[in-house]
Amino acid sequence: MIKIKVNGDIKEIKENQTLNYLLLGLGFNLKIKGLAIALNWEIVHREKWNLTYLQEGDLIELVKPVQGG
Amino acid sequence: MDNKISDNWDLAGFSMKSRLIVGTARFPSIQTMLDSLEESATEMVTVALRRVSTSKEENNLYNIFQRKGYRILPNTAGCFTVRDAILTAELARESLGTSLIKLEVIADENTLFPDGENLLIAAKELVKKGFSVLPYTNDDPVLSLKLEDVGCVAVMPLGAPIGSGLGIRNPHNIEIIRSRVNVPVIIDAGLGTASDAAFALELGCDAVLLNSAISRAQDPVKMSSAMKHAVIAGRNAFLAGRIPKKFYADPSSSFEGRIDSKSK
Repeated sequence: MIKIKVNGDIKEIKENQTLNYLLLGLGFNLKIKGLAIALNWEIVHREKWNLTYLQEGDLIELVKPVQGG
Repeated sequence: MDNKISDNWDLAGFSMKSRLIVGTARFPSIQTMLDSLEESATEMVTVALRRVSTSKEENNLYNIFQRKGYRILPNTAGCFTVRDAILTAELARESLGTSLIKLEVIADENTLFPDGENLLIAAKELVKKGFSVLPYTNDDPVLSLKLEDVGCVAVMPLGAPIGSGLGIRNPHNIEIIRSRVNVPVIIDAGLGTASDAAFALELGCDAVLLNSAISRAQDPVKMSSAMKHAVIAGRNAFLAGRIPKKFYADPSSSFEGRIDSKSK
């Protein structure tokens, strides 16, 4: 198991897993529009989610648009 | 209702009819928000980006605004550092497929005033990264010019603190900004009612960005209608050219041939 931070919260996941694996584990529909991901302060484009393997200490931000002014 | 206004304006390469940009926060309901947007005749709406824990599809704003054809202006609201603002802008571009960004770098939680120094740093960086940057700035003519110089596509001075409804506290500064900056000037924040929006346009501003003034009015849909008319009235008054202010009266009816029992 490795420890990563998702939206500020520490999570433990299996080693050698991709962003897609993480998203599915969190209950995300991978086709949802508007979801954007940053890994260690860099954007990961949607087509790379399945090719991006997570490592110990990774910082992940998952965001979507909400009502705002 | 005749919704035609005198002229279009250009923002980041888009030709816009409406001079109202509307924020989507704090409406009593999603339906009231949609009805208000419709009534306002706006073409551009703002959204924020926030952390999400699961993908429940309820009220997927992306889908709603796409379907309605609104141009989306994401913001970096709530960012207190250059780093957070830049990451939020990049996430917004990824999420929404737009390089437009309403850039906020806030100095403190009580005033929500922009942090001018860091705003300029973030603006410069985002322009370099290919963004069309619309900075939320103080009503500061010097900073506004610097923001234009680093390549911002508009400047958005506040009228008064966000959500305060105090109107335009320093119209003279807004006029100076307007006279010195070539990019569009959009009053962002602090407007309370229709006359505030009209005043912004009368001062020569290109547009206003409103949120609380509409969303927290007792009747947001009616206020949207008022704001729609206000910006049209203000713009037309600006184009028409107001009369100069005078100290004494200047009669509109000619004095010639009047009945005058005082004369001999």
